[in-house]
Amino acid sequence: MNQRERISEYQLAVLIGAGFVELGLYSFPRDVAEVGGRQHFLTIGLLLLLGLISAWILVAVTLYFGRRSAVEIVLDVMGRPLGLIMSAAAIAYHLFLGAICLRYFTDLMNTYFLPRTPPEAVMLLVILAVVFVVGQGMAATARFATAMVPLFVGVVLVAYLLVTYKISEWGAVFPAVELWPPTFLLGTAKIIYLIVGLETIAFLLPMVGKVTRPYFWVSVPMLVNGVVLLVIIVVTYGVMGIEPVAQLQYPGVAVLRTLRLPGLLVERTGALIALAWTVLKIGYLAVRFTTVPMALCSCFGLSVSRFRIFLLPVAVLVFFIARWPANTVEVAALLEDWVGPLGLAANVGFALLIWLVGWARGKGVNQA
Amino acid sequence: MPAAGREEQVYSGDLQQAHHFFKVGIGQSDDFRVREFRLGGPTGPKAMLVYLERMISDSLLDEQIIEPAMHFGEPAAQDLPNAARILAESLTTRANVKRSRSMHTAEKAVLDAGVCLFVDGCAEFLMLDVTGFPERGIGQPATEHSVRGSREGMTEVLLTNLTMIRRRVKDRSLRIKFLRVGTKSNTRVAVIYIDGVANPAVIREVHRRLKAIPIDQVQGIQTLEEFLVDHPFTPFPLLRSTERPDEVARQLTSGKVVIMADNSPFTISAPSVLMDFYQTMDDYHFGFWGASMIRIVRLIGWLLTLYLPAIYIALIAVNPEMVPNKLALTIAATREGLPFPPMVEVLVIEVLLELIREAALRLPQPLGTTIGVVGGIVVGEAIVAAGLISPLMIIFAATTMLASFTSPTLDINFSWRLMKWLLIALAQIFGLLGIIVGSTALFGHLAALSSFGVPYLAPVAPMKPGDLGDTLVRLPYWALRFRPQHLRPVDRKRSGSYEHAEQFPELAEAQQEARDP
Amino acid sequence: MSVQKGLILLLLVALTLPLAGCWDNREPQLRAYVLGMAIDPDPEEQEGIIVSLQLPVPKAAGRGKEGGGGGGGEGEQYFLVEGRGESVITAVQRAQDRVSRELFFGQMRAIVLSSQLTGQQLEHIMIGLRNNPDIEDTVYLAVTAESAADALRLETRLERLPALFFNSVFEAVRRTTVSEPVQLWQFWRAQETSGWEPVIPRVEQVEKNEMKVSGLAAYQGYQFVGFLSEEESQGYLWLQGRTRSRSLEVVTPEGVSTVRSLWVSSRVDLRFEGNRPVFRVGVSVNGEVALPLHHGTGDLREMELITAATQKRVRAQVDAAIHRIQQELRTDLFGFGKRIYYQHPRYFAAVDWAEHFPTLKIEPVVQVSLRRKGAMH
Repeated sequence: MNQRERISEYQLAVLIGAGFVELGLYSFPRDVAEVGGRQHFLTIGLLLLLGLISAWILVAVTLYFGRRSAVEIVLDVMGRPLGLIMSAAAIAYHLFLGAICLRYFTDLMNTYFLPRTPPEAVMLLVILAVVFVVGQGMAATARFATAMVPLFVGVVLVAYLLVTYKISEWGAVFPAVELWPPTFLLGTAKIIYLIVGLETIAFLLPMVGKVTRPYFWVSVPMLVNGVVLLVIIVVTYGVMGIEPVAQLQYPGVAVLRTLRLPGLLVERTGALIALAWTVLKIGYLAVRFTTVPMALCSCFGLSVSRFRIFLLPVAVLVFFIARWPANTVEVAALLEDWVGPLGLAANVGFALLIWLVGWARGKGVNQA
Repeated sequence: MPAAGREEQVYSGDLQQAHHFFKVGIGQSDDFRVREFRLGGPTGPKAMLVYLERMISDSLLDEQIIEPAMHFGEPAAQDLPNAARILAESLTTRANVKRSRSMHTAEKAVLDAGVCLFVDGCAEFLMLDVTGFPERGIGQPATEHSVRGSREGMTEVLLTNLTMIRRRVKDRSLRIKFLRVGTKSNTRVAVIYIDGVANPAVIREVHRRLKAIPIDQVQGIQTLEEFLVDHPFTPFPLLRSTERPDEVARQLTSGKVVIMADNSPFTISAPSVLMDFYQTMDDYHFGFWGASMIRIVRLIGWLLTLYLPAIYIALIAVNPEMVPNKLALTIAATREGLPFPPMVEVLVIEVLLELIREAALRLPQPLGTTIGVVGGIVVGEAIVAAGLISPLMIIFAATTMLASFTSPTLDINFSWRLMKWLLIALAQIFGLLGIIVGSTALFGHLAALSSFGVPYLAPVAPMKPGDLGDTLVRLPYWALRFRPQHLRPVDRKRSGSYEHAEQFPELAEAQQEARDP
Repeated sequence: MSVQKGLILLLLVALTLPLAGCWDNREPQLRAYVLGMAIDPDPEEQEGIIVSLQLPVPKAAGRGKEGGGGGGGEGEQYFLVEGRGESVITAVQRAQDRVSRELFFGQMRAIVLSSQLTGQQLEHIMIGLRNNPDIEDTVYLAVTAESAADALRLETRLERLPALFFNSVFEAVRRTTVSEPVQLWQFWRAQETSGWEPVIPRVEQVEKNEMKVSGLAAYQGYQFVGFLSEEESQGYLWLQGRTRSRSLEVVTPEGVSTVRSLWVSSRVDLRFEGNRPVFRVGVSVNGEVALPLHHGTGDLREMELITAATQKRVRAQVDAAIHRIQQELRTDLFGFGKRIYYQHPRYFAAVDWAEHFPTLKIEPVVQVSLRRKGAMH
């Protein structure tokens, strides 16, 4: 693989983290409140454990097949026609995830900051930035993420804590736990799926230059993420209360908007910080914009390092999917219900399936 | 004509051959001088000196070469073939004497301000160094002033500069390698590094890239820089240039390879990261508290340069809800009745400031100051009085300009001033979102850059915690025990550990009297 | 290199963006900053409301000093624009029609509501306000029994613009008013939370040129139910444990002394007696005796008397607040229902809280601890 595409294990960890922390701020508390009921943030420990296990399975499978990209492994193990169908499904899914993410972000900007700007313009701007960053190679993206992500996570956490200090309703944070098993399981599955970043692992692990402690480096972001999300959730609930959180599109932004530091040049400091989250959004999209073209490369039998060929077509495609709200809103609504259990099952299940088939057909690196 | 294209000519000991060789080559120039005389006396063998007029010191030539040669005594006939060696050993008092047989070497030596002495009948000739062309004295560096550091700046003469380096790094492993770059200018380029410290891969790569440069002339270090960088299109400087010998010495000892060219008082060092452009010698000549404060001031200056005009536009025109109440009302009041939108204001005032800056730079020193005053104060005052531009904008623009000059190196200053416009354009359309997206793209670009393979944002991205001691703050010397890891020096250890003595029993006793009178 | 070409392409695309348009970019001269909004019911229209917007005159701003002694007359600092309509959106639209610049709500700092607005009207108003992206969540709310528009017309002496009065009074003097600032998002949060009813501070005109914050207005949902007097508001604030620096005059057998509260906290304990919840609210007031001033060690007995009297005084205020809120207004401003909802959701679902609240058993316990001031002098 091209040296320019090599990333370090630490950078992979940060990229995984960027993906789900980004999800966390915008909608995670709402998801928890909606899906699992108000008690759900307490289950985060369980989520982390399950997430870790599924991530480890993915890492194990990827390493078992000699650190090729997910699509390459699938094509090799499953044979061409079946593998292509599976890869196409994965690619479509990723395209829609990227588009949904983009659409939500654009809506957010339209709601709070740029009401008169057409959403297309914001989308175009963000896509251009993402393509620009991604076009410089995976290593550059990863370096960028390592420099920026920890910084922004820190800033947002501090801002959140400031908000808490100012206004909080701690009664909302420690309600009694009255668990109801089906809701609990469904919600847990969705949340694990959202935070684990399985696709990121599957697609980016092969790019890691030197794999020495894979399990460790995959579990680090998950634990950090667990802590960050816990803070975000507790603070959001503390400030907003449970019912309002469930009704908000972007609870994180709403919380930050209540932060106001009089006397600063930018007085609505919280809103500014919410805006600064754009950087993480771009990081998250950058991962999608890398994985999809790379998967396409594998499908067409090209080297993964030539993913730039597909970068612009993918960008155009994502733009057009996100362009019409029906595409994203309805697909999101469709995904909403079964994305958790199914996404998890799809990732871990397929990983296990492929491992089994590969083992039966003698395709693994350890066997060869 | 490239030397490689001609077949090698060897001096045979025949003066006529040498004569002819020069006559068809550089001898066609009118400043080429041939001085013929007889060695040792009126009957001695014929000898010939060739040189370029005024490139050498006439008095040295007269006193130390021609005069002793004439009174040398006639060599015996059997000694004639060894005349060159004998002369080198016993004739001249010049230190730098070389013998050769290649006519092309002779030509190069002459072009390089040397003198060649040919003796009829001896198949070798002497190349003597009596360089005496006029050169500028060592002056203060013009671009990098230092308050407490050395006042020496480099000059245009490579060898003089090298002496300044040697004086500062008296180490047996200091290596100086000469190369010639420029098919016409034949400029001597020196690659300087400390063996056993600098990364050998970088040394090899520097040599490889320098040798591959196909240009005809090199008149400044910038010419080389544009060939040497990893990313030819980026607006950011990828090699740190300096004209301070002490800075060069610091770079060498921290494991960099320094490239120096004749006729240029500037050197460049490879690899260079963004942080290098914010480290100046003054940081090391002040206490670490003060130096750290200066670094932070520079950071603020950088932020203001890059963001202030863009934020002005975003906050005034696109996201006015972000501004505090009273400020918003004040701004609205000052802007009432102004004819231009903020964007045009920024354009006008920034262009005006750039004009003043450029004009002040081009004019002679005293006039330049006047222009600065006239341009800055009079035009600024008038433009506000005329009600064309809000006084707030003048404050912002002046602050930006001022802030931009806090960056210690000129080239990085240009880069940020250029990038400022990108952010201004984005702020005009998308407000604060535009600024943030623009910065993301900007830092994405910076993250992609590298200088001789070292990531440009090192030691921040990729993070090297051990190297952070000399970035935003400067730790005291005794804490900076390791060379920057991102440079991958062979020997990482800069210094041993040092225990600050807390108590000196003997000293305490001796000072007892001073303490308790 | 393809990357470089791509970069150049991107740059070109980026350069065309400015040509596309600057949608949210407005020259400041084209915007009219709305600083305050007052909403009254329309006396002529059944369901209509009148929205009054306070706009500063930009030329006057920042040049206040030049006017000097001019004071009221020439060069007005602000003016009010009125719009009538069924909803706040149409009313603002009508107001917009009467102004030459685009109304901009991003700098609005206060919304004054009339207490005569019906619950439904207020609900629609709040939804309308939240739908305007420019309006900050941190806008201060105030209620007045008189005309809300008049509250924006009143020239307070310290502030140049009446709307800034609310900003100052709630941000600077929040600790000493007998009320608490309520921002838009707080009102909205109380609306959305089960078992919790909102309050909004009340303002009233006291002199020709003076306005003051005098207590709180109680709401049930969006319906205004009544004002709390200053004493009752103070009692409510004790129970909520809000930090207040407030002076109290207490009468002891030895005369009148003045006490200043410094740090107040409250703790709510929920227990069930039989099948009924009982709330025990412990209010702890830490304060200092401002008068009489003591020299030397002072008289311990006198301190005890003052403490006891203060305790009595606070208790009286607390009781008054509980009586008024529970028996007369019958709306759960304390958020006791919220506590039940969080801790015993099934119980909460089983009862109608609005019906249940007036019969709720509340046990206030007041504890005062005072220290002397002036011992050092």
